Amino acid sequence: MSNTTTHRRTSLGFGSFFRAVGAIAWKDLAAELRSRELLSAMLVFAMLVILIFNFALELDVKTRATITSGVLWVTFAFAGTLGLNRSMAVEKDRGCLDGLLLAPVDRSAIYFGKVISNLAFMLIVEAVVLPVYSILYNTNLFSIGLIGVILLGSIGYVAVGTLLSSMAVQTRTRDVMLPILLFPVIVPVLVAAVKASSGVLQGLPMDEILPWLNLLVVYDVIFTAIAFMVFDYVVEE
Amino acid sequence: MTPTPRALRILEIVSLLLFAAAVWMVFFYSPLEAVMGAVQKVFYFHVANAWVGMLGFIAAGVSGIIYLRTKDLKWDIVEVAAVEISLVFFFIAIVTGSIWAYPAWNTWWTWDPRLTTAAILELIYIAYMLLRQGIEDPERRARFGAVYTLIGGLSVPLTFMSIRLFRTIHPVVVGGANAAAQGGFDMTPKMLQSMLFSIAVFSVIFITLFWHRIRIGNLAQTVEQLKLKLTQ
Amino acid sequence: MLFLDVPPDTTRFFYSAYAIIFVTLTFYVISLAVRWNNLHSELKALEELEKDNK
Repeated sequence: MSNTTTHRRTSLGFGSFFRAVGAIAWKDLAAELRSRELLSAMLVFAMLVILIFNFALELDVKTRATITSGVLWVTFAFAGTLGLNRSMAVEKDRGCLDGLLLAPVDRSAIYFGKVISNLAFMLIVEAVVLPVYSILYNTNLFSIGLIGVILLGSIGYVAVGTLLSSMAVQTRTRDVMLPILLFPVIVPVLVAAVKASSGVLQGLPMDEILPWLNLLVVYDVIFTAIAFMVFDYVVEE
Repeated sequence: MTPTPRALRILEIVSLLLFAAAVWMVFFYSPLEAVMGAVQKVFYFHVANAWVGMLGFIAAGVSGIIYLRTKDLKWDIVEVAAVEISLVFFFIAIVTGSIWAYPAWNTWWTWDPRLTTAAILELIYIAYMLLRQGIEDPERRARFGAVYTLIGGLSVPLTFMSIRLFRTIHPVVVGGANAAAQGGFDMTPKMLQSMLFSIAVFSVIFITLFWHRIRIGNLAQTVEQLKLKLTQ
Repeated sequence: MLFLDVPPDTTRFFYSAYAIIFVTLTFYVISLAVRWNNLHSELKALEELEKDNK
């Protein structure tokens, strides 16, 4: 087992990096389009979480306004964990990861490819949860602001989640390990996303929501950069 | 197997003496505070443990980065030692903080930024330990550990900022907006001396424990390598 | 509460906090000593085994 990290850069340059990223992302998306296992699991799970929340919390009209963003983000966080776990596990079990590592592709392209496909899955689930929640609780959740917040939050979540799930899948406890590793580290995203979402839903003025958006952007930028730099160390053989 | 170095033996004795001195200062030298009474004295060791725990946390992050660059396993041993001892010190800080909170603000827990961040940090430490336990290969364990201390380390300041922002917009009802470690009392010179001395003492204790823990790590590595050699 | 000359008696919290500090530190130091001794005896046993194998 070699301990050296050979940074395999393609001699073909920038364009091929993006093509590699696209290819990796498309591989997952295409596979999912055919089987739809992952998405259906995530969606059913998300619905069940909302259902349980209905009984766990008194979601009457008055309290709902303040709780809605919290319920939404808990749902997204749990369904997201499911997606991240499955996505990586499939990769490892089918031996795809080893195959990818042998290919003359920059490791970071693998990272970005996985992030894009994981993000896509998470956004699809969120896109379904929003209308369902709106219908079930008779509230209007459709606003550009909310969609923006959900996008920023999901990016941060998936950026760190993809890195940590790559680690978790290589441990003995696998699936259980991801939430334990991920949740303490994702707190800034959850706090900022919940506050920003609820700010948007309550129609608060922009200067009250802005600090939260800033926090989300800062987190996203820092952690995507770090995860991308460090991904090599996590998948080397 | 190296016997305990003389320097370490001396350090042990110095640590014990300093610890005794610090205890004396807390119990007898420091004055009784008017508003909170005796429980205010918890502050001295509480702050000392929190501060020194933070240093250990930074040490862990730095050793992690050095390990990733050099791939020298001795940095991994340093990293685990730092995390483990910080875990103990932070545990003490959190528990003493909670005990202080009850008579001071009539609640066992305040969701103020520092206490909450400390709790999250403690969870990151525990997650780190669990991560390491789930990996057999020492080299992979070291790599993953280093990556996680890096990610965890970077997230903590952001966590602190996010909770502080949360608190300024929604002031805590119990304990007031400044529900921070100082609990709103003015420090007399004797109190300041006691606090600074406690911090110094716990720094020395940290170094002593750190050195011992690194020796254990080295011994464990020797044992593991010998086991591997014998089973081949 | 009009003539507040005496601070409130919070000594039981003070003592329990310091008790916890002492106990935790003692436990940790003992755990270090125990782990050291265990590793040491394990090393001795392995070295014996190595000698026997030679």
